[in-house]
Amino acid sequence: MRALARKANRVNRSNGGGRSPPCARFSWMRRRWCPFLLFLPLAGVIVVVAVTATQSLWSPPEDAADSMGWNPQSSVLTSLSQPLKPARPTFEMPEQASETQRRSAQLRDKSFEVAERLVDAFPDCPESHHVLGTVHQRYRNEVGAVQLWERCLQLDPEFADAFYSLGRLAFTKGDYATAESHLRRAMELEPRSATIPLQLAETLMPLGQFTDAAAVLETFVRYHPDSAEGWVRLGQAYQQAGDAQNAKRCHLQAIERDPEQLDAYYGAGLALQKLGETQQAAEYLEKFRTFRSQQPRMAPELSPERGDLLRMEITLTNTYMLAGEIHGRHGDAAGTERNWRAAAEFDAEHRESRFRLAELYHHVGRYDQALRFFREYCELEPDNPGAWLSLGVLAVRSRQFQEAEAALRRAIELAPEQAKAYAVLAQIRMLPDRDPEEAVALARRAVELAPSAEHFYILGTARWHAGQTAAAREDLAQAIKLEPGNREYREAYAHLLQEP
Amino acid sequence: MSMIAPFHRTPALPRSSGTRSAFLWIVAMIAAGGCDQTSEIASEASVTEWVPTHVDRPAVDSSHQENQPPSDTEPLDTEPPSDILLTDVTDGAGVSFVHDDGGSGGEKYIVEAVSAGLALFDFDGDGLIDIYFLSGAPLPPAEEYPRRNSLYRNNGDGTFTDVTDSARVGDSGFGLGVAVADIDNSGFPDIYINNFGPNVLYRNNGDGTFTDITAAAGVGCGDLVGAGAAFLDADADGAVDLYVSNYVDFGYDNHVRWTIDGFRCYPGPLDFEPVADVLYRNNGDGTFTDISRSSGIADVAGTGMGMVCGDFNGSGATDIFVANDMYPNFLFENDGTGRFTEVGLDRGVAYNFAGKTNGNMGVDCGDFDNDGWLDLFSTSYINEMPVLYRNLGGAMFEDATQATGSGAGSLRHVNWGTGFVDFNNNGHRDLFIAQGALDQNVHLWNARTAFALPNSLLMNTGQGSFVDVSDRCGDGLRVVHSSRGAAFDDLTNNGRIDVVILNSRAPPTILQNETRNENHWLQVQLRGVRSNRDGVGAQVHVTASGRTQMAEVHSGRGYQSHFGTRLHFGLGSADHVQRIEVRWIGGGHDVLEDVPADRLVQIIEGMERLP
Repeated sequence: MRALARKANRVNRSNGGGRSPPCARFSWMRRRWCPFLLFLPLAGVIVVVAVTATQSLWSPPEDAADSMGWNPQSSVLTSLSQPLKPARPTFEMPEQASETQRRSAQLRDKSFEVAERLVDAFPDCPESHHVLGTVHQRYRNEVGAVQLWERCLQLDPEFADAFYSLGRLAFTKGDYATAESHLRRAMELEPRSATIPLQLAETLMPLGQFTDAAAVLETFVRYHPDSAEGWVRLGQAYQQAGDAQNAKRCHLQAIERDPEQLDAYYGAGLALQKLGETQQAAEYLEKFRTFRSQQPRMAPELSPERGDLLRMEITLTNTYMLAGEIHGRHGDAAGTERNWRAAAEFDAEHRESRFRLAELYHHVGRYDQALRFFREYCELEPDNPGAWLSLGVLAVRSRQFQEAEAALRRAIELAPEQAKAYAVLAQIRMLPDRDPEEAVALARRAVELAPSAEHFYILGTARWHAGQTAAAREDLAQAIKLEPGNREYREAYAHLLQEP
Repeated sequence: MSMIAPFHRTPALPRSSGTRSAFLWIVAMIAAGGCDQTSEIASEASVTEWVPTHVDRPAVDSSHQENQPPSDTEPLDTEPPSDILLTDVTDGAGVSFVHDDGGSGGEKYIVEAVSAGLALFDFDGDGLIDIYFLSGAPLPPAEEYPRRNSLYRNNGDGTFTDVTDSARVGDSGFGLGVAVADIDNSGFPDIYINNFGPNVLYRNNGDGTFTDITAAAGVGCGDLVGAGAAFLDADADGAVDLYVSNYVDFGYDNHVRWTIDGFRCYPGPLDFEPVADVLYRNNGDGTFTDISRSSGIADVAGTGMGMVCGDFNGSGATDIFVANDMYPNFLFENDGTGRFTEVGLDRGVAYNFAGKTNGNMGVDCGDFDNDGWLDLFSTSYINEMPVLYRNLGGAMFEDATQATGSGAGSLRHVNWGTGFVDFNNNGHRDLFIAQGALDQNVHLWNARTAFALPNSLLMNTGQGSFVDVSDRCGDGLRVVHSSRGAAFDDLTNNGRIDVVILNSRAPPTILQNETRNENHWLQVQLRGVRSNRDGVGAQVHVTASGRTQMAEVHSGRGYQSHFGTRLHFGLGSADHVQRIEVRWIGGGHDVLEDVPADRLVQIIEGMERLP
């Protein structure tokens, strides 16, 4: 763990050291794993985790370490005397409490316990108070939540997430003016946020400020041009403002980006109706009707009671994950490990905890443990090529070549157009007593898919192992052409020149 | 001050079969201030009864600003003051009714939370609006249970008398929705009750009693979970037909147990299959025929809650709007012969502005912007805005909720009964919204709402928007209950619209409108001759001070309730009406000109045109 912390320190120093702006730090959290996902159903969390996991899997380890944001100096905040821990909301447990009720109470208490422990550990950290505030809001103590988020702002007056949370809560209470004020401040602090502008625009709409909402969303789609949701919201703002022409334009943009964007078809239909383009309007509304009728009306795979418990379980695992995240920010890798392990143990099917733990152990060189969690992750995500690739890469590092080969072949099976798996597998097949001819074929495929310097280098090496020296020289020459400054390529090429 | 006099019932007129020249016959007016300026009109009405009644118009209180209709060209610089004053007069009203749903021992059957509506109508023809409350009942039904529907006769002095037993209308089924209309054109309004379980049709015998004619009429509607109901003359044959909305396919065997954070709560409509509604054609002989299939109504199934019928596209035929709970709303357009096509999506009323379904509850229609078209206002569930669908001219509606501010104060709560009502007689219809959560224990998982809440009143600024004045219009909006149905009518015949609210698991609330201003008003009661007797579906256009308002007679509206058979128009400073135009169902058309304000005018279809 010390090694992990040292590595984090090194990364932070290399980035200029010191404390990065708090908003930038926490905005990473929102991108990766937003605290408001506490309220999302499992399916949504899985999607988010899968996406973030896939993104990270393709990143080199150093980037991942950087993205974890470990920064021991972040605890050097102005200390406010004590951690703020509002009283938990009280719930009377009936004498004849059902199993569901007892389990619910345990889950609720555990979430509070984890978040309160976090505040105890980092009393002057805005993020820790933010997490506890979110748990209070989740369990209907909104007064406590507000106190905690305000404490965040005492600790860091530029903590955008607190402004966002305060704004969002005010919005749900129908206090749009207060919501607007908080959200505008959050927006100032994080103008490129992927969430704040959407919430601000949603807040401006019931105030009748449609033009302002449209302006906010125009900026949003400039920063996030591929966000179909952003275009839909912008179209809705224009529609409400009476600008059907722009509404039509935006909804069509949304459909172009996501042909399954249901709301965009509805919005386009309304806009076209208003423009008098009735035939086209009818077509879009018919598509909306058709798509909608294909959506499942009811999804009761779980009983409502089980679904309820599941939502509470998600709250707890998410709290563990956030706690681990914040321990990491403060350089406490042991705390990170403890919380993420708790999440993984609590939920045997929790993907993100396994992925993050695998990453963590990988970084500190505890490959056996990293492999364990990558294996579990792959079991839970058997159709995720990125997961298998990561397992393969890690297995190579652990010299578990048989497992690596199997994992990489699975990755290729799932994503035949992904070059990296071919390249890594080619390197395994070059090993003694394996099949250099197959290595050449695999490396050639990698080059076909992604003609990078690295892949030419691997192809050249494979050819050299297969006895194709002349061809190997050509490949290395190509690698050097693409990356002239690479010393390793030049040395290898020089070596080959000396061979007959 | 003139004395209160009963509003004598005139005998039912023979139904005209001849050519309908535009005749109009004023039968009665309730005039203000002694009714001494009515001679010209009265002289034209050979059987006119002039029935003076008291109009206790209070002296203007300088502390309340008069709320004249703002000029369309003058923008409001500041939030307009509210002169609306609604006072809680429940305690002295003599109403002992308490709604109950049996509680089911905590099982939380879905139907419990959605009970019930109420009806305001003049059952005995004395000119005073009476009240009929619906109650739930134990589930499954118990042999002995004291709660049942109750009818209260308006004594005319601010008190009511329970006449349920003598009137024989104490149905003990599980009440949900109610509608009132004169099904046999006898001159006496009949009652239809939409229950969970068999429905009930009470025929008014005209002597203060009713007879249950459900079986003979053939409108029991099986064993479904009912919702709103409405009478309409779908085929313009002069006899009101009956639309019965149904909620979900619930039974004790498919009950779903729900929890939120471990606490028991009611399931939602998506836990059950939707059910098609039913349309009965009135055969004119005391029986009805189920024409759901042939009329096109049964082509779709939904989760009906409130409903309202009206001519939304200006075709002259009555259309049907059904608010569905977590399901797209239905708008059934009438081709004039009683054949309907569901066009909710195409007309823009199936979803909110974002294409989302709401947990729609109650619905009312009215011309909030005085553009001559009926708009719709649909209340909704927690975390959803109610929706004001502005009618853009018959072919399309738009969600104008955010543009008009008509969602103010509602987002956090479940909204139920609603009505477009001009509380301050300024010529602009305000919005009343009844509120209250489904679950008595909702506070355990939701900090933003409560089972029992004050209701909400949005005042129409007259400039196309609404302002939430709930906190400044008297103690009536401080009463805390979990409200369901809300109904509106002039209980005291003073020209101001009062409010009666049915509260879940609690006594009702009666709010007396004590708004103090000098605004004038006019009420219109229609009597169809060739059309149905109550004029259901007829539109009345009233022009005063150059401004024309429109209202239509509806039977069944709001949250599974009935009210407003007598049409009400606030006139602002206009002390007379230049023109009243009646467009009867079936195409008849009557005009009356130069009518003094501050009275109830009863207009008989196709009688003598007045100068």
